[in-house]
Amino acid sequence: MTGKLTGLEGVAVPLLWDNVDTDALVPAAPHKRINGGGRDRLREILFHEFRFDAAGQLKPDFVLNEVQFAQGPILLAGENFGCGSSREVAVWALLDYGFRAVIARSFAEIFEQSAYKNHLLPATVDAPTHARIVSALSRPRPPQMSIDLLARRIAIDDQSIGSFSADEMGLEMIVQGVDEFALTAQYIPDIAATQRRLTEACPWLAG
Amino acid sequence: MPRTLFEKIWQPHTARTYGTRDLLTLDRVFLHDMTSLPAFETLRERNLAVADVGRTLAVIDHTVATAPGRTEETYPVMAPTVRSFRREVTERGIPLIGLGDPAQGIVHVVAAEQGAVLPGMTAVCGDSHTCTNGALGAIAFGIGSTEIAHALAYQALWLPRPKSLRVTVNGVLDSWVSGKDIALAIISRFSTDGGTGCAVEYAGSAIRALSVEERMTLCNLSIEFGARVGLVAPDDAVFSYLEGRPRTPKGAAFDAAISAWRDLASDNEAHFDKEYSIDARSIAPMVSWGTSPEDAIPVDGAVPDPGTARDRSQRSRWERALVYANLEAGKPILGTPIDVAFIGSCTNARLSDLRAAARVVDGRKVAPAVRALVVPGSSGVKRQAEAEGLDRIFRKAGFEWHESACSLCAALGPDVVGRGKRCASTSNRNFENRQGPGSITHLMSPPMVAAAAVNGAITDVRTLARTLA
Ligand code: SF4
Repeated sequence: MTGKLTGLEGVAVPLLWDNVDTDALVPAAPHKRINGGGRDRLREILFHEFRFDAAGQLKPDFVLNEVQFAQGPILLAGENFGCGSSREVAVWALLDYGFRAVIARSFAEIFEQSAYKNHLLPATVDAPTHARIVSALSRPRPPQMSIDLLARRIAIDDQSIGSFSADEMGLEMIVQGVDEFALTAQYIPDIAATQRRLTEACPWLAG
Repeated sequence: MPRTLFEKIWQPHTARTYGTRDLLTLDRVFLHDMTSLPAFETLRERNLAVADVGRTLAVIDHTVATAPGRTEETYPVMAPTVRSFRREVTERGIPLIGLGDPAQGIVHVVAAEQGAVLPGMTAVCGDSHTCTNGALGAIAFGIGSTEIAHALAYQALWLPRPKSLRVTVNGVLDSWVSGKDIALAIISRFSTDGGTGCAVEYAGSAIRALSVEERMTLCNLSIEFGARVGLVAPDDAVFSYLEGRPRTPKGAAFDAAISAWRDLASDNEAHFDKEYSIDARSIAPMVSWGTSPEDAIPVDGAVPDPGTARDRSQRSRWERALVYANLEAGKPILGTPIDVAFIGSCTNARLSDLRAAARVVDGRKVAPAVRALVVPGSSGVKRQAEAEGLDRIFRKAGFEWHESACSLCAALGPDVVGRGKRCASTSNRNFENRQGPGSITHLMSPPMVAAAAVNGAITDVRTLARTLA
């Protein structure tokens, strides 16, 4: 688990595709190859099929292979980012590569929830804000982006560019550097009471 | 207050509310060999135990081989994963259905066959197609590995309350048009994130007329529509589907359950945040051309021209998809040659799917250049199909007849399509590389895949069926 995160600064990597799926983030074939290699090897296979050709050579036209975008820590995408498979390795791979935030027009739900739990910020922006970010990023030198998690604001080269939205509890987990396991532990009696009530009415719900 | 079907299940399962999130109690947690191991790691790190093993069920399906005679060791790359999974679940006393068990199969198919998912339940699994069993009138959805750990430890999850969406399909379907085609038609019309943030209820006369298995196919594809949850109000068809299954209540308890389940329908005045509707008569057999399930067209349609895309980002996505799929804009999709035909996956490998495909295959031959395979959704489906002689029809035509597992759906085991190869597939995702590096996928129904296998090219099953009669 990571510590508290209230602000974030760095280069935003524009990958302006819609529907980036989790198979694209972590394809099965290279993942099988490093199986057992641990989460700290996932950076090798993030976007594997786009970064490398069939012979294993870097594809020069893929954005992560451009020198100025090699690091992150912010990824800018289009709509419906993280759709497809529930594989949480997609989130872990982004983190292992060095990303701490993804800005997109929208996120697929399972990915978004997994992102919060691992303290990767999924920041949703509206269309005008997205367009402003995109045009700012087309400058010759990649500008510095900063994200203020408390104020939910995004700035580029110190100029505010708009706000983002995020799930309240999810954002709180990232800001505080906590997860919901501890919170849930306080509610075990509530869970038990709910289950009791349900199985009294519907005994087949019990295992 | 009139309530939706979804609310009737969600509300009583809510133990607590925190802002926009509810702590939803879970009736079932299903596990499989691909995404569960990190969850066990999390449990160990936090010193947490499984709360209620009686509500769990583990299945081995994702990473294993399917060739006849396979065992859990056949695929050496993933065998250690399978072994660890087996050890983790048995150590914790979680019931396990592994290879060689007569009940083995793809987790969502097995869950339904065992009667482990029942109407009114909440159920989760670390696979996004868990929504399949919404067809039984349950809230079933896919979760990530951290969520699996949380679900195992607390039998509950914090979830944003979804919005409600009803998709109404009225009218009568044409022959050779099935649940798969309805799903692809919905996704292509309302886009792959048309249901994002929503629990989708499918309603209307065309849905009620679907068999339970076809409803499973439809609900299965809810996630490709962006919705974590898809469901259909349970009716007599569902009750008779469930009767007598291993984990279904028996005798008087079953009758009591049925009378409770009859209330599981949206009230007449219930409010939905969004409503879509579609006319069943307007749906033709569908086939996907690109790299997203929304890239689906009627089989007699043309590959779209990026010039007609709704905006710049769709245009660039279409352009990339055309390059990847090696197709030309404006050309008919009919006649596109295929290399592989795959009938399998939790979307479309139940008995009725195999029967429908066999009807097309019967008396015909797979085109010489095509590798065709049937991977039944479960070992039970396989046995039933063999008892009916379906395996002989497929084999005689030149299909391979495999053991049950996920196989080419996600290429997590040894089965892959091959680089640059084109596959007519009954599965659920046509993403780039989904069926192995460089694979090109065309999603379609089982009879459509059968027709493509026979002709060696994308075919309108209706035309082929006419030449048969
Ligand atoms: S068949 Fe495909 S979608 Fe279904 S459970 Fe297996 S991998 Fe997941």
